[in-house]
Amino acid sequence: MKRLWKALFQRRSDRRKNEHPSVEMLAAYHDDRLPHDQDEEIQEHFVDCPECPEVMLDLDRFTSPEAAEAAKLELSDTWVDVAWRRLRSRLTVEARPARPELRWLRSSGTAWCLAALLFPCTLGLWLRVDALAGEKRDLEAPQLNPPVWYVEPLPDVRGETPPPTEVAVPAGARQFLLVLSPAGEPPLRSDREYLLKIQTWQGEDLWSDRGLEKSAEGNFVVALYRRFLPAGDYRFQVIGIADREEEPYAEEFPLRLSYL
Amino acid sequence: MAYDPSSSDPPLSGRPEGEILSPDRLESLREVLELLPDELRRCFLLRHGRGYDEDEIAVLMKLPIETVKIHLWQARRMLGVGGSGEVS
Repeated sequence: MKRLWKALFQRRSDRRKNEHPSVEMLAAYHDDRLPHDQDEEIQEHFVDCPECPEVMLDLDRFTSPEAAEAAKLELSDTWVDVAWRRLRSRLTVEARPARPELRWLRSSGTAWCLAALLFPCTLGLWLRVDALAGEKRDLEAPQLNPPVWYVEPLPDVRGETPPPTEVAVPAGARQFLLVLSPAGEPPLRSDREYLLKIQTWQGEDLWSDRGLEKSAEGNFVVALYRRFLPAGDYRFQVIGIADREEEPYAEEFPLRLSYL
Repeated sequence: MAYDPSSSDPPLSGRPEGEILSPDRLESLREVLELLPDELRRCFLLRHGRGYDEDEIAVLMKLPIETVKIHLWQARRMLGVGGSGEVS
């Protein structure tokens, strides 16, 4: 093979066959910066040399637009990294409290103090909610044989105040019934409903509601939960809602409430 | 500083040899090759002596790829060599 190449290219001198162009010269050849005769020499050398064409091809791949684009991408990645680092450092600075007097909030000791304060509050609130939930369940449960009191109205005796009816609610009773028994037949015949008003003994209104109806026996029945009224003296007033032509009806039932 | 190719492995070891002519065939073409224009001869030898493809020859010779194709076609026709290197 060597003999063949020597025969094919014997017109070239031994100096040109053995001497490779430098990389700088190959780069100049690639960039068209060599005179024509040197271009010819290098091209002739490429035919003869197994290594220099590979160097030239590598040089071309390295300087190709695709390689330049890849290099640009790497450069842009670098710039993105730099931008991210700057952004992170900026966010870290902005995340700090603006006012120095609030820096104590960031300390771990403050966090433990807050946790120590919040824990008993949370525990107490939870116990209270649990107790109320149990009480609600008790109130909603049906109660058999609730205690009943018949309350007489205040007699129309001038200058004399009779003692109120004693209502002592037993310990096990969650609710109790009051049967308000009028002294006589109410004068109204067209009464469809009555108003019940609860007042303190001094005459302060506590509660009132319409819709009270007279039972078949001529009484008014009111159910009270144990905790609705604290122990004390009260006036229960029944007021008839009547037409304008009819004479109004009102009757008062005093009672003294206590819990056993 | 001059490039020293002896410091690296021979780079042509992995090139395909399907279209490379055998030394005997190149020897038989020697006289005719000397008659070819320089560009045609170089392109032909780089293609069928070294095994470079047309894109690589275009880079080495700083010629458009179409020109390389035409040079190779002309050289083959003048030498009576087929596309895969067979002598007709």
